[in-house]
Amino acid sequence: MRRFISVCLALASVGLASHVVEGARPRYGGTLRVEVEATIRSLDPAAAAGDTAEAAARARAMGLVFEPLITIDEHGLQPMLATSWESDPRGARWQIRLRSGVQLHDGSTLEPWHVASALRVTEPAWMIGVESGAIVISPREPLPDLPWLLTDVRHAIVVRGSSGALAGTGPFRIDAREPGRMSLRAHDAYWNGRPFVDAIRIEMGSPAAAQLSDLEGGRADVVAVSAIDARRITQRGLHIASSRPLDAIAVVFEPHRAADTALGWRRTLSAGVNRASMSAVLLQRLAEPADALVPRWLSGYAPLFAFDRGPTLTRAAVAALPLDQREVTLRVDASDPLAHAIADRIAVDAREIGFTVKVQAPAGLAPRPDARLVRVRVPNTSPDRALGALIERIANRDGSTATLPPGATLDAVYQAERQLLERAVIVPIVHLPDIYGLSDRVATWNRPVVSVSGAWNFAGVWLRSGAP
Amino acid sequence: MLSFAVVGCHGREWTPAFALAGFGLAGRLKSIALVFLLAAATARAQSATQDLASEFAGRVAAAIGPGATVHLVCTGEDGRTQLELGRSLAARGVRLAESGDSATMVRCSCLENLREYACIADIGDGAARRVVAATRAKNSGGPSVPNPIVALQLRPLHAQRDPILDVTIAGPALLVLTPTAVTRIPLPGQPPFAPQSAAVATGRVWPRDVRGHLRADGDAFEVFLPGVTCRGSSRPFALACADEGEPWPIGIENAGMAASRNTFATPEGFSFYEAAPLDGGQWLVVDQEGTLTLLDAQRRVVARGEATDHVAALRSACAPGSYVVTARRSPDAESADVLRLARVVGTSLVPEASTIVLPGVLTALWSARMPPRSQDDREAIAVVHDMQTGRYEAFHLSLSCAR
Repeated sequence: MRRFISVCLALASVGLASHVVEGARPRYGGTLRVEVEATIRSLDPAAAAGDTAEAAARARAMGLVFEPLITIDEHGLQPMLATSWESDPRGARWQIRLRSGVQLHDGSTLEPWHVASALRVTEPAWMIGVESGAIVISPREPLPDLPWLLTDVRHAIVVRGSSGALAGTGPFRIDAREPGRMSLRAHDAYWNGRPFVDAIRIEMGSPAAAQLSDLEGGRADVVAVSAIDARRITQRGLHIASSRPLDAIAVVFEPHRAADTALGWRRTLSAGVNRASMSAVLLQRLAEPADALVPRWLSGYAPLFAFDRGPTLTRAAVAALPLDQREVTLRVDASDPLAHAIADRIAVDAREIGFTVKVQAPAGLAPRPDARLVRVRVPNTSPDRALGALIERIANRDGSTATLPPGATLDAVYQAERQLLERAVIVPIVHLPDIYGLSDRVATWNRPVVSVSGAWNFAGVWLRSGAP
Repeated sequence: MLSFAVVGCHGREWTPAFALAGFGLAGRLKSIALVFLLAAATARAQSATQDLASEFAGRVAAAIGPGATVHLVCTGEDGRTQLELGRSLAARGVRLAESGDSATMVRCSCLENLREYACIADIGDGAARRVVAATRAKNSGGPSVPNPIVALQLRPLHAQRDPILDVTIAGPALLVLTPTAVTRIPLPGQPPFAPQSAAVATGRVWPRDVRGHLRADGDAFEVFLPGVTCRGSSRPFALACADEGEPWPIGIENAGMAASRNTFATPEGFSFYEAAPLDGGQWLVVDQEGTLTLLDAQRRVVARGEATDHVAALRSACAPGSYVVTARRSPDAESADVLRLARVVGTSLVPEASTIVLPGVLTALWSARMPPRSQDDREAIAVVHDMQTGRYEAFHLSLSCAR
């Protein structure tokens, strides 16, 4: 009982310390000012993003306008526009019931045939129809985990008007688009309750430094910030909101350093990285030390990787290595200051164990590195799909043919990740969340500004000082 | 009567032992832990992981093989996973070693991801390495029904100086059973009438810990006392008794209470004080040692748990599943019992609400069905003896739900 009480007190303390959930009665009105670094060219889920930065920003903004049938929160799959779903045992035929009375931005009511048409655009290979008011999907191959697939933003339901206008069901509708700026208006008839703010103005193409400056100067309400800037923000009395860890930072050795004979060498370097200290100090406790690629909240097994990293070289053995094996060139993305800071920290740790790590951040051509520091977005989905995406993005880059079938059991996922990491060619370092700086005006009702999966919960945001 | 109440319920001394793990009985008792976790943070997640704990232990034990020696290392901030798995493996004949020398290394974790609650073990090293997992899917079927927040609801029914054995509602009246009589009193909100009493006519001498139970069906009612059965009517009020024992309606087959005893016995001869029928034909009973014991559909002992004085089953349409209320002496008060509500998940009891401290010692806890509740609802009557004031008070116990 005492223990239970202490848990409750701890939770209460967190609640009191948190900025994002307020007890005051919310106020309607005002414009939420958001800045992003990328330029979002289109909110159409069917359109391809120009780069990963645009894809990430677009996914967030798109979630305000278009909604999927099924979504994900910290408890797993949750109904969104669908109210229920079921399939035959193989997942060859799915039947999805649609929420009734959902009004589109153009004032019409969402019907099952709208949904079927929308899904046919993004999944032309699926057989999609409407039977007895339900949407029936027969994928080309059985998909036992189709609901997980439907949570992806590209399966958000978009109704295309004859004029080419896009109508969605989300809490905001597209109001205006100008160069470098997008304006959204509150959807008054939103099925889950009208947003508190009247509008959202998204300034695009704003560099990170300018975003931070605008936040501090009171010209922006929500900006993306780096973990290394978090202290600066809180010291100025502003606030931080973050998701669960969504980015994996890992060192990936180049093929000439990936031989099995160098396994002990790589393990020694890996073991020398003080991930806990990096997370606590450099990354302001906003990151999680990583022994696995898939973050713990998505895998459910990650701590098992901390038990054994395999035998490493002794200090004397490292000292006895030829000079070229004691020097490691680590390449980082020149446009990512956070990755650079992490690489610098790895270099410091490596020096402690007798290695010299040279951090290379070339703007153009540069000598071949020994390893790269990569930053990969981990999809917030089932563990098999999360690892499958990482295999595709990291491991298969070098011609590896590792695969993981959708719907794989957890032990299969665990074994696949163990197999992926046991050669220490891919060395997880930390997991990073999406982090945002919030102005003093930003308050929320019931839910945090940013969900665990990084989605913007701006429908629940209200502004303390009214319209700007 | 007072001395009984001071000594303890059913004349037993209160044992502070808090047994967590089950143990063998006559070679038939399965080694399944009956765990009552008090440190509940989220009952939903906990019930799922508790449910899968024994399956996980079974899979790990099967992978290791009987008689093997293992060095167990589990992740977890409070060591609970390691503790529980260690107990379960030990109960399955697996030996636990303090170090990894000459023992099979078992690394394990019990966590969750978006898809499932998961326990996973990585066993051994090198070529002999095996992975064992047990998972429970989270909501994967669509409509998300909010998990009800279930709580115990106590409604005072009647208080008096004379000992109360049981109460029930018969027509517009409340019937109160004492060792000597059945009294008919008006229910609150019903037209008043003068209380009526009918003596329990018997030649028997009651045991010191006399127990009695009432069952009403409309205006008709039955009285069950040790070696005595009475039948009566509320309107007109009448009562006729015979010194004949009959099975008591307590939800499990029994031959009634012997004239000079305070326990029941199953047809197989297993003695117990109280029984709570569960879904699936099982029972939780308080055995003669005062231990909460799980009986299977054949009334065989499946598992044993903590020391408990009372148990009763509760059910409500608003909260699917089997619920039980248990009672034992409050650790903070010499003369007060506490009620705890738990949900039965497999062979585990998952706490569902904070404990309730009663205003005295619980002297009786009977399952009851009180109008106007649904036929599917199962409720209970609790009788409390407040030793400070010397009065007995009957409460109606039921589940209440909030979403």
